[in-house]
Amino acid sequence: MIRTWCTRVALFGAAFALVFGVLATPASAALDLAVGTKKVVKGEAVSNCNDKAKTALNAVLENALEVGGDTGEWRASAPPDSSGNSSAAAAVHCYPADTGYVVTFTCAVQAPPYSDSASGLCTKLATAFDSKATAQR
Amino acid sequence: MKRIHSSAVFAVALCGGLLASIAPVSAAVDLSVGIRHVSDDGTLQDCGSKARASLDAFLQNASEPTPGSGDWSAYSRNGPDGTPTAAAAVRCYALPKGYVVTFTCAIVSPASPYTSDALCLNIAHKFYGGAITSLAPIPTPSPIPTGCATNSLVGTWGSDDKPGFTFKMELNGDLTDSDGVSGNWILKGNTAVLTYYGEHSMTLSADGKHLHGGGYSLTRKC
Repeated sequence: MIRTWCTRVALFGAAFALVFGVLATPASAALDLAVGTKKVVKGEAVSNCNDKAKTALNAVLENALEVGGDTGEWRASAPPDSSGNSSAAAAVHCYPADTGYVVTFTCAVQAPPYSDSASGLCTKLATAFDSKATAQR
Repeated sequence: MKRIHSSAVFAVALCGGLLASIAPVSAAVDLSVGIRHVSDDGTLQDCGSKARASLDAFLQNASEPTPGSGDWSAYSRNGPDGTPTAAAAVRCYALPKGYVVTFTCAIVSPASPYTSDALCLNIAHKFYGGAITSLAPIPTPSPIPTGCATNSLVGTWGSDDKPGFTFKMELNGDLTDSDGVSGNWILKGNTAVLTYYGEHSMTLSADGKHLHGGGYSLTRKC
């Protein structure tokens, strides 16, 4: 009988320790916005920028979409979690300039749960954009 | 043996139920993209001035991380979790005549009381003219952080290098030094950004008591 009670107390104690241990864990998720690279590319059509933007966004995130049709403004998000929510998103803007175009990368994450910073995400996007550019030459 | 099993099942059920009820609600980053404005006149500096004013109208501490770049960003005041719930970037690029400017906004849902589209539309309209809609106020952190909370800088901080010199940091992100000079603070994870005679990036210690970096060393009174 005494052993049973001791076991019960131990089990309840473990349960409450787990529950309130979790409760005491500080929430540290924060919105992080990065103003990424701005590049001027000469001698290329803005349609090339659009192609590279879409490819880069789909390589790093998913579901790249040109907002409003033929605008040169692209957006994509990280894969959603089990609740359907995405913890990162990015925008790539293409605009004709000089004999080519100007392209910008802007990123937003909530970390955690997203594993990278907004700045890190933008760097990956810019790298992916350049990789596509290299591959096309 | 049967009693032990019953106890175990009950404890596990209790634990699971409580965990399920307190599990943090999954948050989503909502990004608004697509507002672009072309001005046939004006300089990059003109665009930058407007960008700063437009951002500061709805967010706080608009800054140009790389001076002269024409890229401006700002964050909202702190929300229920003690961190900003919204942010925006206004990016200017000089054209042979005039400039082009883009507006990108992000909010965390459900913590933000407004959408990223609503925020971006207001910032853009403030920039080039248009209807401004009322944005709901950002809820205050709950419970209000006290002591040496690691998710907030709220409290009184003393300078380690200048005895008697203090900073009072408010819940809404305002700060005031003991001479009455004001500024702002933002905390992202353990990285704090103080806007006070420029922008200072600092690191909050694991115990929430010390801030170091950016030319300052502070200790919280807690």
